[in-house]
Amino acid sequence: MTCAEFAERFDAWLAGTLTDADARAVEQHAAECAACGARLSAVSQVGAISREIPPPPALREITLRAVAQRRAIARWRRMAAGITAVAAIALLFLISRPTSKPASDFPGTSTELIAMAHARPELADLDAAERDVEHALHDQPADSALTGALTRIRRQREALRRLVTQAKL
Amino acid sequence: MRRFGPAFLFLLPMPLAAQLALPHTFAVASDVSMRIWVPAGTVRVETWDRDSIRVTGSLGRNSHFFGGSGGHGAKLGVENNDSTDIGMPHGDLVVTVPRKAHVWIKMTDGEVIAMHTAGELDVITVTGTIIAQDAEGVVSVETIDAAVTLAGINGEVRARSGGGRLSLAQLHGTLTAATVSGAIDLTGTAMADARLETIGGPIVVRGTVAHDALLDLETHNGPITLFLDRAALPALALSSRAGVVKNPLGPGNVKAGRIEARSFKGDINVVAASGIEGKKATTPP
Repeated sequence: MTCAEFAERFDAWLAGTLTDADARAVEQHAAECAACGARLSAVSQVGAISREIPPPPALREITLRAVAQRRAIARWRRMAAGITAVAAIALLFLISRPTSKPASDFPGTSTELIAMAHARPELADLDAAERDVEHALHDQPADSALTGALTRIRRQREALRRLVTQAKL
Repeated sequence: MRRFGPAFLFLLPMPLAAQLALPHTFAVASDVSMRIWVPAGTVRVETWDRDSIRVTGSLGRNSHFFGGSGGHGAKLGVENNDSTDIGMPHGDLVVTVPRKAHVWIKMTDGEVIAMHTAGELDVITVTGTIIAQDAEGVVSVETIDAAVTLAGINGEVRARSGGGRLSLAQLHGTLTAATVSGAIDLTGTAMADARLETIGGPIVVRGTVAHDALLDLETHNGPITLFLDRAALPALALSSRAGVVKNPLGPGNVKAGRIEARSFKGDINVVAASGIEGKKATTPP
């Protein structure tokens, strides 16, 4: 390593951001070169002194207050991001919902349910009748009367389902 | 401007509906085609020889009346004051219409009574009661389980129900009636062509058949009972795959019309409408 390269990497060595290999190279050059070694030694001594002497109480207080302030700001930023996300989701939900309309435009939901409740036993009767006829048709597949009966049962079911749908006002 | 007002209304493709107070009168054509929506309550339809519709009656606490007409078209009904109210709008209305009007009524739960209509009457309900009496023209009724009474109708009748009873009397015109489990009760003299069809409901026929008419009856497992006059016994063709057929009156005569009755597994019984059968006296039920 040359002295120019040492000078280039000295700040990074001080900050501790060099890789292990680079840091070793810097320290080896300082051991071999008197000028660079003196520079490193001086800085190391200042660091050791600064670690031994406690900071003045006022500085400590200012530093702790600054750290607390930074933490509070970070906490508020995280909270604000959360609130913004929730607000964005709520806004999307409101936009995607149908707008309020008069009752006459879509009052059918409950009436359709009422109709379905009334139709359910009838649909069960139709299912039972269909099973009867299908069973008979299994034994007599060529019986046209049975085929006709099956058709009529299914037509009845369609009519009933249509009535349920029409119940929507 | 006032002179052109009614003409402008006449040209509207669809009648405008607005919230109105009762009673209310709409000027319409004599053959107006009108729609009535009353989800719950009563609708009584009466007729008159005027070119207008008059609506009277009362409304449920949270309901209001709306309506509008465009001459040949009109619509009216009841809806909730508050669109978020999930209760059914309620009204008890008396609607007087031109005799030849085509009246279409849709209701969820309530009573429809129509008298003396001579145009077309279409009623669709879920449950409740439907009565149409002394009418001409076309009467069409569809319901899931309302009790239906159609009487004294001279025209075409179509009735369809799921579980509601169809009581049909003195109908002079073609009839088609179908139910799933609802009973069908047909009474009349010189009855015209009719087709009655049910899955599990009983069919009961009382009366006489017109000489050129055919009553076509079919059930899946519902019983068929025919109360017939021996002196005017129609030609009978009765069959049941798995049920019992009893006909003590004989095959009948085509000069008194025809009845064909079929069932998959329901019983078929022919009963004398009155008189002595064997040693047993029979009276009209």
